[in-house]
Amino acid sequence: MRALIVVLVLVGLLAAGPAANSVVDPTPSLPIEHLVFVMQEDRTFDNYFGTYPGAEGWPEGFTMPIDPSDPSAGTAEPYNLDVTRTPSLPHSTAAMKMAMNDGAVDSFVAAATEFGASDGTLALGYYDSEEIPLYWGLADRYVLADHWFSSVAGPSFPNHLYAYTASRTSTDGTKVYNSVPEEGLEIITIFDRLQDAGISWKVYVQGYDPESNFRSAEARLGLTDQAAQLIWVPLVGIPRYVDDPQYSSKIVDIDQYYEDLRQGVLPAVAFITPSGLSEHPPGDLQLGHYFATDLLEALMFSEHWESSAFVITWDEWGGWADHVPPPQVDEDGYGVRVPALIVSPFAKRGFVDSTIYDHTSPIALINTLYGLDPLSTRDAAANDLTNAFDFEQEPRPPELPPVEYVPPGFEAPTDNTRPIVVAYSVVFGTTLLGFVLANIRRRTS
Amino acid sequence: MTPSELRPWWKAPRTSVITLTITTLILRFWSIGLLGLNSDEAVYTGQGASLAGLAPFTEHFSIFRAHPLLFQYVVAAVVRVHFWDTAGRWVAAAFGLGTLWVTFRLTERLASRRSAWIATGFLAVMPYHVVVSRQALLESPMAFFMALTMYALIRYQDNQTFRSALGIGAAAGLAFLSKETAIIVLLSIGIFVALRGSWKTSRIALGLVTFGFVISPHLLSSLSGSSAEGEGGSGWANYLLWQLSRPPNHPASFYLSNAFHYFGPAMLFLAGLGVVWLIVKEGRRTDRSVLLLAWAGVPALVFQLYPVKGYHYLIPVAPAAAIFAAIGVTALGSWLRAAHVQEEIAIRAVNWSIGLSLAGAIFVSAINGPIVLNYDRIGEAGYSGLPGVRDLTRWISEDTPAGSRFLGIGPSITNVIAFYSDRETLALSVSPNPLRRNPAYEVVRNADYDVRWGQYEYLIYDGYSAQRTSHFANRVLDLADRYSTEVAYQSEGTFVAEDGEPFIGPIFRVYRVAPIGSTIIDEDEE
Repeated sequence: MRALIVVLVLVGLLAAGPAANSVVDPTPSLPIEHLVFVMQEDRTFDNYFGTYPGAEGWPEGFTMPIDPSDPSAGTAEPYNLDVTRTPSLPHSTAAMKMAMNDGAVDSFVAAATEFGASDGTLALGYYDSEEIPLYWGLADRYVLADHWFSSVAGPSFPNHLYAYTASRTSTDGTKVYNSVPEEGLEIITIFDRLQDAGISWKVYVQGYDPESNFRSAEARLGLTDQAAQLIWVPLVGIPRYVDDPQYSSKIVDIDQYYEDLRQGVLPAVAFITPSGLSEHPPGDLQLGHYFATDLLEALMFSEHWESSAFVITWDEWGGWADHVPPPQVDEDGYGVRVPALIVSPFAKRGFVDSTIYDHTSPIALINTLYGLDPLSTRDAAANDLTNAFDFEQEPRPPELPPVEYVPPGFEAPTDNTRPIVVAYSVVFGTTLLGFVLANIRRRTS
Repeated sequence: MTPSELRPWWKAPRTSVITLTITTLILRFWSIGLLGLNSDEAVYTGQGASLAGLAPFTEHFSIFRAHPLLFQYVVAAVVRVHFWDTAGRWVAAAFGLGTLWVTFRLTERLASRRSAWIATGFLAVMPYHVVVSRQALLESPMAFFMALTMYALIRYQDNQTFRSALGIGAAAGLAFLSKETAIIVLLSIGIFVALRGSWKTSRIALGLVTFGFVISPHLLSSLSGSSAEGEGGSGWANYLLWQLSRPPNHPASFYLSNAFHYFGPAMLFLAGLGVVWLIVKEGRRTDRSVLLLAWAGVPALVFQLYPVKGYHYLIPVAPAAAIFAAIGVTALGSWLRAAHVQEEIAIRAVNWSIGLSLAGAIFVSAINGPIVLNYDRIGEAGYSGLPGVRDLTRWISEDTPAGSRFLGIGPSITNVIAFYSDRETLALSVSPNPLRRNPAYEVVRNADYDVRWGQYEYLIYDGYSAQRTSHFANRVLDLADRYSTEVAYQSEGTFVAEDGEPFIGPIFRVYRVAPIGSTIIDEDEE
């Protein structure tokens, strides 16, 4: 009986704590020894890849009503934005609810106008290879996911939270909405799982400020330079990640990412969060796109490239339109479709992956790699990105896309040498023959 | 001497022929591929590979650039069979050998067989001709065809045949097809015809028509290049405009100060004697005097007046200079006899002058050309190739990702990296003023912004460009200081700079550009 009690107590302890895993093998089951996950800000798939060939972008002749409740208001069509800085569109939860229009996804313009945009049709603006050549170049060479949805039909914070925890439910069962509570969050993250399993991890933050956490009133009020850190890095809203050195020491500045790559000590799982270069309007998206691809370049230049996967996505819609209705998987989401790129020496070349993913898919991949237990029903059900890879292929050497976009299959026009070669052949041959004949004739005469 | 009195060259003393042949071959081919190509060589060999349709050269080396393509055409024929980087040097050296043959035949006609051997011997070991004809440059074939033009001209003077008139036009046309500056050969011909000719108009017309026919491929490629001109403006007209508006790059004394280096002092002395002899004794009264002085004088004058100076521009003068020196030997003997110097002493003096000329020239040729046992005696930076460039470009090919972009000091390094490593490299010193830049090169308009935002993965400093433009060299170092944290590649070495002083230091240093967002940049902004 005592033995049974002991067993039950042990089982109870295992089930209750962060370390919900049984025995974990720290060796990945696939040749991805390093997963780098980057989350930029506020873009939809159609905003970045709406005209990308072969992906599910803007349908031919697509238009959106200016005001679905008033057909006389007319329609607007998507248009190419030739500026890389725009105002930030309204993108609150309420604005999204209106934009989605109960699944019709036809009210982005109306929602933007309703919630304060001076020109609601800006929501239909999109970019292409002119403005984001490196992203398009990566899509050509690696994998573009065209059915990756933000996890929550809501703003940044819950979407980032899902990327770390696969839920937004505290351990006491309360729902977390758009901010961190004053006392901090109690929630199990993927890094708890990794920590318990002895698998290395780090979170790299651009311009990391350890003082900007849930205890900082200024940060909570958005008064510090790094106030966004509290939203974009949910770990600093969790007391143990702030107070316990075995956790807090693994949240570091972005410089450490480059240093770790240089020293060959990149952890098995690395999450990266930007600061000023997040592509969040009104910032210059082109600079953000340079920043994000530079993170990848650093990986490409390192010894870790051959065993790595680099995943970049965008946290939420930012008020931009997307024409694909998100599947409803639970009460939280999915939210609006966002772009995602998967880059790896094992990535399929130029592959548009239409598998349904969301921000918990990287967690699902980590679970697959290390046999970890799911954090929630979300990551348990999420597709784990393996469709983007071909592990039978030889690891591909790194390939940087050009800063000026070149479409796949495009061959730079080379000189038409044939007429020149023919002309030189005629003249050179004739002259040579003339010299030879003249010489022979002179000798014989 | 009449043509019937000429003996075939192979009837010269066997020992002399063998010695001369071995020396010539050693000086021209020994270690010819020791150093990697310099910028111009990379362009011409790259164009040859483009003509042969070889990737990736077709992407980097347009055939529509400033010059005609005869040399590149011959290189294309070679590399189509088998490609190696220094194929162009072998082609140039072969043309150099051809020039020796023409010089022999011409001198035989103008002076004597003995003088022909002396002139050919002088040219065979002349440092200037050895160094230039060992490089994959357009000048070696140009010098060959200009010499051939002179040979055809003197033959026409002898026989006045239709065939020889055709030969003049064809040879002059091929000289032009080698490099367009050979157009000056028409001026030399004109002077000769004006002073010595009694030519029929029909023969002159025939020569000109032949010339026009032979140069027609260049007209075709010029028109094609102009019609293929993109927004970069690399059409033929732009090249011409650029060539004509280039600012001086060397002092006016450039050629004169290099004369010793070109010929060696003894040969220079003999050539001077020959020139004086021809002017004083023969003036415009003999064909050979007018021919040689026009042949050598026109390029010397034109390139002296042309503001842009180049080490190899005067190579068409080299065969004439060798013949002058051979005539100088004769002149020396005559003057010594006229001065009643004892016969035995006169003979010894002449023989010593020949021996010293040959020995001095061989010595200078050897240390500048084939016998480069280390990298510290290669003469003016880069003219015999770039030490260390193969190691650098191998590193680039093997250790940098495909698509990496480099930013360097000057365009020289861009051609070399494109040739060997298939990587795009831009240069800071390329002028934004279209009149001041080669239309083939792309302008870097805002280097600071581009480097700051990761549009280059590497900054490259090279010692050769640095000793030409310290301003842009410092600019690269400044950018490296601001945006780089590590030296990814470095090679040290020594070479003789353009000012004649030894350059000791980094020949190549490649900086990895620091990642965007790292604090090195943020601190710098503050």
